[in-house]
Amino acid sequence: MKKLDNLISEYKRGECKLITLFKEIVKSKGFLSFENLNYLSKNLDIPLAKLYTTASFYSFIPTAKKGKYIIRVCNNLSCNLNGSENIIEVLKKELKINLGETTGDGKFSLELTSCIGQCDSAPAMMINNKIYTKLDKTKIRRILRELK
Amino acid sequence: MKIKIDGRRFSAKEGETILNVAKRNKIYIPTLCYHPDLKPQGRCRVCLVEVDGKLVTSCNTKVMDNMEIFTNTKRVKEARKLNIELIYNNHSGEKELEFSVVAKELGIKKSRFEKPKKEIKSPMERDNMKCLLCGRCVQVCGAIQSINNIEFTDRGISTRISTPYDISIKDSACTFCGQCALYCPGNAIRERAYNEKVVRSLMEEMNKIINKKKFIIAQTAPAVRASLGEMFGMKPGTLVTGKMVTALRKLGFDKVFDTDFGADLTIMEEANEFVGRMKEKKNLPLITSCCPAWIKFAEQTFPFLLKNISTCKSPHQMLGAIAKTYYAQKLKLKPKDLMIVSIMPCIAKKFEAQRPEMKISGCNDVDVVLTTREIGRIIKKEKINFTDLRDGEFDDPLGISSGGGAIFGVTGGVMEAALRVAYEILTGKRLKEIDFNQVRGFEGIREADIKIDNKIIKVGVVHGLGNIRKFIESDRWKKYHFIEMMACPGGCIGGGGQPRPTTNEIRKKRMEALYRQDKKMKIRMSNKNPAIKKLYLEFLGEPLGEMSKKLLHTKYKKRKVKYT
Repeated sequence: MKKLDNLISEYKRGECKLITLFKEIVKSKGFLSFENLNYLSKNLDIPLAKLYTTASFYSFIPTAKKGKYIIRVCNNLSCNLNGSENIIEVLKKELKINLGETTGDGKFSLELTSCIGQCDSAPAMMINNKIYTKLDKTKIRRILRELK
Repeated sequence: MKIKIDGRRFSAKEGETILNVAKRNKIYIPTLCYHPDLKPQGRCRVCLVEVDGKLVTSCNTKVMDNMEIFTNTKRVKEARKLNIELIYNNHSGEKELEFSVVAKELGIKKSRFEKPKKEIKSPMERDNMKCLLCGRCVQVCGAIQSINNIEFTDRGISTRISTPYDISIKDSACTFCGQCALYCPGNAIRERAYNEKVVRSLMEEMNKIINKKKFIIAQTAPAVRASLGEMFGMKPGTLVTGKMVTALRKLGFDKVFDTDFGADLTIMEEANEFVGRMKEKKNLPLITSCCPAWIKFAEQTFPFLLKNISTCKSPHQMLGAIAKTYYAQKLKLKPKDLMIVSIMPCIAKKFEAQRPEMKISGCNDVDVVLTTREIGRIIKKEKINFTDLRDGEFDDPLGISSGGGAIFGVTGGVMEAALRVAYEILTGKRLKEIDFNQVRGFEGIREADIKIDNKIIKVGVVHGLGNIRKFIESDRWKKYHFIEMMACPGGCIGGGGQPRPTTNEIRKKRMEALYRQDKKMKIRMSNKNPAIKKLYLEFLGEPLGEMSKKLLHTKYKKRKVKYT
């Protein structure tokens, strides 16, 4: 909590800094837990529901524990037209999980995201901070094998 | 400022919205998420009009000098229609809701689009299939009630209203005031048990119990008679006491009692409690305890105030306890042979009736709580023609009441009824001026200095949880002797279980109705109610006596919730 306190005093200057604060917490803890957010709510004097509505809006601010590798498949227009639905199906099959779920060994989480700026080489996805483009079945299998 | 609407000239004030000017001049613009008590949000986009070739939401666009507005162009009509159709898609469709009325006005019976499949998650007795995402509930829970328990969650097509982390409603900061349900135009948020199936099974249950010779008693809160008529197309502020009693008899209740009697009893206990605390100068200010949402709010957020709160149970609980003892004895029945159904303007009363403290000899004081909306629906379902019913009268003896009991339903009413009686106890003289106009009104926080003999009694009246929070956190509460707290704006007449729609305008009309009733009554003071006198003589002994303490008083404890 001490680290959190430092962050809070650093960012206590207003709601406009909220996202940066969230990102810092995600960086150190992996996600925004109920305890963290409730603590934040008390110390910033912002209702918990207001913090949660902000956090839940963003794909990159998880509010539940995620796997070691978070796979975020883009499903916006270009990617969708270039077959992102198939990519999602392949991932689901390979990992044996549904969208929004995490594998039993805690290694992979599968999610959707809005545009990640790779429209020219769709379909695309991100694993943690790394971007993968022009995806197909074999490419996905190779990527997963490397991470497993 | 001069503006033009559909080619006609109108004058407008600076800062006014287009919708305001149009409404004043009787120009029709359909609305959905707009509500006169709330801040306009421009969310549903049904109130679109055309200005300078652009479509704008009239509810939150301010007028400018020489503005030219069109409310009726083809483009406007088509855009409105499309928006309603898209909203319709996310709603399972139901008659007689604010939403369906607007849809009908725009000539929409069903949407052209395919319905998306939505998962039903109900952390708060809500049905996302009926949610229009209008955001009224969010605003009323946050800006008006200051609880901030619900918010928009997720984004885009997944957007829904929920508690943070989908924490279950019973662990959340919810006080069950039910204002979210009262403001909901699509019936997505509602009281527990509010659906046809449950209502039907309740009727069957009742019939079954009748066969088993359970004695079923209904009691009705003061605020219900001032609003139930609205469910049958009657004007807000119509008192339907007599018709309501007749309707309940037709439904098969053995006796129909009046919670106003319970209110008189509460006043006898609470006025004496107040006088006692004044004499001992202990635990002042005394704070009223009739409102269960306020009690839950205090237990979880302001536990340091619990010692100040009156130990009196609320009127319907008192009536339940007396019915199951005193009245049951008269009938030569056991407490468990009676079933008490309270008809309340309130959702929090459902929670209150389940509290483990609210028991006598192992039985709940009250078995079932129905809201005004629920009983209205049951009456409709049973095809009772409410408006044509003849007036009935409450049964003796727990149906006899005073004007003091009647005004319990409005903000300031409990205070006034208590002052009427406290005056006579403190001075030993007859009260000549019965109306305490100083404590009446609609302002969120009101205060008055009441002179009794040579003493000044400082009283405060607060309604709406947002006002209550402000009042307590500013430490203002410390300077009073006696404070009345009501969670819902306007008091019980604006309660979470009341007919929809409810606006502050309608609240005021219901309020006037109850003051009218008080004025008309022969007995206006709780201590003059002959049935109350008889009850103390035959059964209870005296106010705050041993029997009273056992049956009519309760205690409070600090309540743990996951967050506040």
